[in-house]
Amino acid sequence: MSTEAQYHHDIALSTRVRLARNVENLFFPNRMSREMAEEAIISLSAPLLRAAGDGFTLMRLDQGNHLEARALVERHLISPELANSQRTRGVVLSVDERLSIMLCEEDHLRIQSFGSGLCLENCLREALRIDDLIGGAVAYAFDEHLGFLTACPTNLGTGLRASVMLHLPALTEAGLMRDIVAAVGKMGLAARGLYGEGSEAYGALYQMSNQITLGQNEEEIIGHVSNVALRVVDRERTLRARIKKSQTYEYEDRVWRAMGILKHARRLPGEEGMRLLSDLRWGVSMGDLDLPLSLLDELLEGIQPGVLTLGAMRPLRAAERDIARANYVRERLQGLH
Amino acid sequence: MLCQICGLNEANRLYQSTSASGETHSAYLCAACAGGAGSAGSSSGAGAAGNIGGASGFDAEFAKAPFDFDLPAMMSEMLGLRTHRPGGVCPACGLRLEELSKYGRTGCVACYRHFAPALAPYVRRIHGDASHTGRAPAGAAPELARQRRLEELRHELQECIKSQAFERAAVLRDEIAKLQEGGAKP
Repeated sequence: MSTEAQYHHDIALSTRVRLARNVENLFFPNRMSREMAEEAIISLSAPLLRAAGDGFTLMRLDQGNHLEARALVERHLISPELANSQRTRGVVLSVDERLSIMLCEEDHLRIQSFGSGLCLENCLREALRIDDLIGGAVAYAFDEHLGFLTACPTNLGTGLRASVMLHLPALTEAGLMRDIVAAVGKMGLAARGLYGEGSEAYGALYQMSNQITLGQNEEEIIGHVSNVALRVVDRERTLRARIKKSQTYEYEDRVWRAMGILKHARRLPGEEGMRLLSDLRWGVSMGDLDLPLSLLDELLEGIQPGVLTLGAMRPLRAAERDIARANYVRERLQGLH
Repeated sequence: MLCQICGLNEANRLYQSTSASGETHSAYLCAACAGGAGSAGSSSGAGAAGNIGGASGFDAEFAKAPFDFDLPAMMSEMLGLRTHRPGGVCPACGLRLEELSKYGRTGCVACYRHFAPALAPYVRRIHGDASHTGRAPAGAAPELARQRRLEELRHELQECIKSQAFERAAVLRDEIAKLQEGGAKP
């Protein structure tokens, strides 16, 4: 089995595991003074910065670097809450960006581990490795019955949030996403659009994650998320095959039209870019276009406004961003297929 | 208005109950507190509710409510919360119960102890009656046991002082000192 098939990369873009932790003898971030938060950031990042191998760097987010923060949000490396907070806060990132440890967000520590495709076990293993590394240096806030104590009671227990990002263009096209969201909700998972507000899901990208963190152990939680995600993946895959068979020309036209526009457009608004890249990814995942899926996933992140602006190294107006977006996509697709 | 038991959720209706002495008690409660309070006898409550078949409107709504809970006990718990903890303020971080209720965020580890009665129904509503079964921080178990034993001994010491059992109090004081010393060692 190829790595892509093993991790269901045709449908699962990426996986994230997050652990919420607090230090026993410190007030939670919402009650901390600036000085307390300063000290916490230094003491909590120290074990990470000392650890060899991951190449960690500490980035402060309260020093006017709004654009960097926004780009990190768009790439899902930090939460919007961390980026937008007025408090003293920071993030420690590994050099490969597979680990992101948010400091003084809602909790003292939000240990996040990322991976491509559906890889909850790997992500959990990595997150727990970091958990042990920091936990060896500080005493965590913990209660025998309530587990790891978090600022918000919704995260009590394991403090674990396991999320899978899925690309579901066929289910979206068939108008089935409302049912899917309701069905996974009944199975204890929350589903929402990855980009866009509320129920809007640009690019047919959805995130599914566990809601309950207390009463199940870490392995049980990721096992359940994995099972539910796989059922959705199966439905999407079946529907993709059916659409390709019964509506061949519509499907092929859609995929090739996306390729044509993305390779030649001179202006590319964000929403259109998401839709076209989603169509292209669909074609690539069906084996009809010879492009690496990882390139598509990279482009879906790369066309976000903050990431584009950061790349341009100067402020961009909306119209300028559309031009920069079209240029960026064209350059990346040049000479391919 | 906010629930008179947890002070966290919006109260959805006025609940009433009659004590054995015939006295009527009433309180505005949220669904979680009303449900939680009735959980011990919820099966009998459901059965009794079922017997009021045909009730409509308010009666039907009321019939759905678990009316076999001990409202006086809940009220005294609520009053106890206020008597022992003036203002409902966490002694460690200063978070007020109103803030907890408004933002749904605790301020420190002590909040979980201090606001335990108010938080319990909220936690139950999110996670059910579950207890933590996941991993624990390395070395947490012995320290936990020590903390709990210290709390017990301190409580007993206060009781002994109140009842003027000074001999027992002296023994407890030494035991507390020993346990504290043990915790201070690396």
